[in-house]
Amino acid sequence: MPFSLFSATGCMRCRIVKSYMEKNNLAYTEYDFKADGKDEFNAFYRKNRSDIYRGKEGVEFPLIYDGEIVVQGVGMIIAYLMDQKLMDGFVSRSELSHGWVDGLYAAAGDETVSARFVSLVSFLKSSGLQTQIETDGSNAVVLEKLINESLVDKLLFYLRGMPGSYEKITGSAVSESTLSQSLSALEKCPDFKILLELAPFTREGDSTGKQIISPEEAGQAARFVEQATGKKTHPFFIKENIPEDEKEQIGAVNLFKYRTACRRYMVKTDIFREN
Amino acid sequence: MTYPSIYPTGATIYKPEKCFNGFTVFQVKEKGAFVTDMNGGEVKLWEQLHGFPNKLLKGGQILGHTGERSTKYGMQDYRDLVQIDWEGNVVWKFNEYEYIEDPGEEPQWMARIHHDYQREGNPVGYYVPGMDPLTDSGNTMILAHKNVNCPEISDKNLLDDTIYEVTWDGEIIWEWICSEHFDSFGFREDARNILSRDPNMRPCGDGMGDWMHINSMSILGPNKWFDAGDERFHPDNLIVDGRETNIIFIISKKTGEVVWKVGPYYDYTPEKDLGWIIGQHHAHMIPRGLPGEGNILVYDNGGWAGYGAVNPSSPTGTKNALRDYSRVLEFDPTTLKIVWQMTPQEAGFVHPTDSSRFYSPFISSAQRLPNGNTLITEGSGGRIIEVTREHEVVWEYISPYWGKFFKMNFIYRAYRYPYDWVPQVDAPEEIPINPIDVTTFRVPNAKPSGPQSKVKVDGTIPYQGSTALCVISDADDPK
Repeated sequence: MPFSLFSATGCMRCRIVKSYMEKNNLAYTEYDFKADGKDEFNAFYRKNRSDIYRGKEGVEFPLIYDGEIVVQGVGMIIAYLMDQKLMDGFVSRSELSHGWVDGLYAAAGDETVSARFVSLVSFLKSSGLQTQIETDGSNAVVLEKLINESLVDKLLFYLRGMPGSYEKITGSAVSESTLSQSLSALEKCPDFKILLELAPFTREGDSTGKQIISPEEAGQAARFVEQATGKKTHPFFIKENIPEDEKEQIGAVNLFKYRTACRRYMVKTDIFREN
Repeated sequence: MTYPSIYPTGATIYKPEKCFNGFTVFQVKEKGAFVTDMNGGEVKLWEQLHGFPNKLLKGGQILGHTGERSTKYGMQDYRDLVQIDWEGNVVWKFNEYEYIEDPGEEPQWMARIHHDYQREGNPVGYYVPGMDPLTDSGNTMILAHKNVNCPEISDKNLLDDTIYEVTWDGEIIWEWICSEHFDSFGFREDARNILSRDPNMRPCGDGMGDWMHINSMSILGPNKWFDAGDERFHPDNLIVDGRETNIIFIISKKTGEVVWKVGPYYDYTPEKDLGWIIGQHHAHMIPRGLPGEGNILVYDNGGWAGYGAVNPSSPTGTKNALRDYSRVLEFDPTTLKIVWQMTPQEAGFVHPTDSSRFYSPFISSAQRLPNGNTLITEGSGGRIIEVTREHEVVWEYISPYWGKFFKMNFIYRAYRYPYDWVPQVDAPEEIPINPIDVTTFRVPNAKPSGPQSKVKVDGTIPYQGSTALCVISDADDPK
């Protein structure tokens, strides 16, 4: 069965998906929402609205449908066309527009398909999109490969704390050497930010409930970055990431104390603000 | 207005019995921080100590800065705030707000402080009985700069105003960022439009928009409004003013929200009773214990400021409000009624034909003194005056210092402190200075007035009492 491809006139991402499908001989029937495919899309939307994401500017195109699954957004569609759901950890919905694509996580996917992920990013980049990659420092090899092949336009490096805290916070451990290796690759990126996330976790042997890393531990993480990179002037930010339903348990967080602690080692540390 | 090329400087008027006698502290750019007595004697100079402004602490210590960031990359960014003792030793210093790496300059921490700061114990930085600023402990509130990206205001690099509180040990414990409250200021669409296109771009760095330009920051302190239950005037709240926007506003210390403001518009009730405040400086609440306590005192410069509708003097809508004279206003923050003012009219000038004789289009300040007088810095001309409630000038001082680079004798802001704040110096002799009669005073070799030959012209009639010339004046009845 050919894919149904829902597109919009003038949509760059739709052209990229069509180009990929044509190159790989994947048959599709196109419905252009802004031309003669409006009725078909509206009918499709009504039937599948729970699977279709609407952002601030309306439905994000393109979408494909293979008779079973609706896939939306250029990154997710090509990942699906390449390997079905195998790249799910690496790729998620992109929130960026105007020639940028994100939702690309160098650290979160199945390592056995990491080479395929690099190919995906390479295709997006060669198609004219600018890429924003995210990582938490694990899976350093993939990150290095992306950076070395100039596939990263912007990198968001989410530091969770010292390497020893990673397993408690993220569920998977990362060694000091891996984190060091990832941090060492940063300087080759044209644009990057290191974001020290303050996210709740349960401390081993502590029955008092969830907490976040302390300012002193944040300072140690900043020191780790300085030691790994040999530089103290990286763009380094403190980012609070506490779900609403856990805020009461965690209590008020004085971000200034974190900033002060980190500035001893990362002198440009600031509190992360949107924009 | 015509300015004479020759005129006296230093102290020019002094009526000791009508003054709040003490030491006056001010910054002379390119020289340092001066303390003068009432006769203009220079009691102390902390040489090369910058001051934006300088403030005295009890015991003969002074606050100031060791220097300014290169103006190629920063606009009025001072490196630090330092507390210096009488001997010139650094007692306290803070600079760790932002690590700056400017091309060709040594990387360094900077406070990025500008225009104002307040040491705990005193809400406004000038003398208030029973409210001495702390000298060996306490937090300091600092007005500073930060470069931000805020597309809601403009897509250009913005030089934003921030306020932070730093402990005696150098830890920042509170911060407020102006651009985060853009929606609180009530800009109309014409103002938003020109702000987005030209947020007061300055040519330093790669260009940055000094969109608000806050030029004063103080604490409200205890006040009768809060005592009566008005939470807007919580003693911990801060009052600031934005020169470029003509706004004076109060910030909640607890939430950061703007809880009271006047401006940016003065064409509706109740603001219209204030007249259009333009490019103002040093707006603050008169602290408890001083005459007029609880009222807002502000030097309303006039000059050019504001964003909004285009007009013949503002083809783009930037700096679209103009006035060529200054006013000092004291007004009730709850009714917005003016309770005292010093404008060209009170200064004795024919309005508007001679109004610009009381005019400083930038800098300047006003301090309420314990005897009810007001110390006014008419900054651009380097003039400091003490005026009574009845508008009599009982002390006047003109700065004798013109800069080598900046060829004006301007004074940013002067403060008066009691003699006992400087125990290192005996209270000086107070010698009255009677104003020179300028109608008869002549410089050497100038001849006295009075015609050497005089004749009456037949057929002439006496001059009229009206002051009307090409324009109407306040002495003319338009009816």
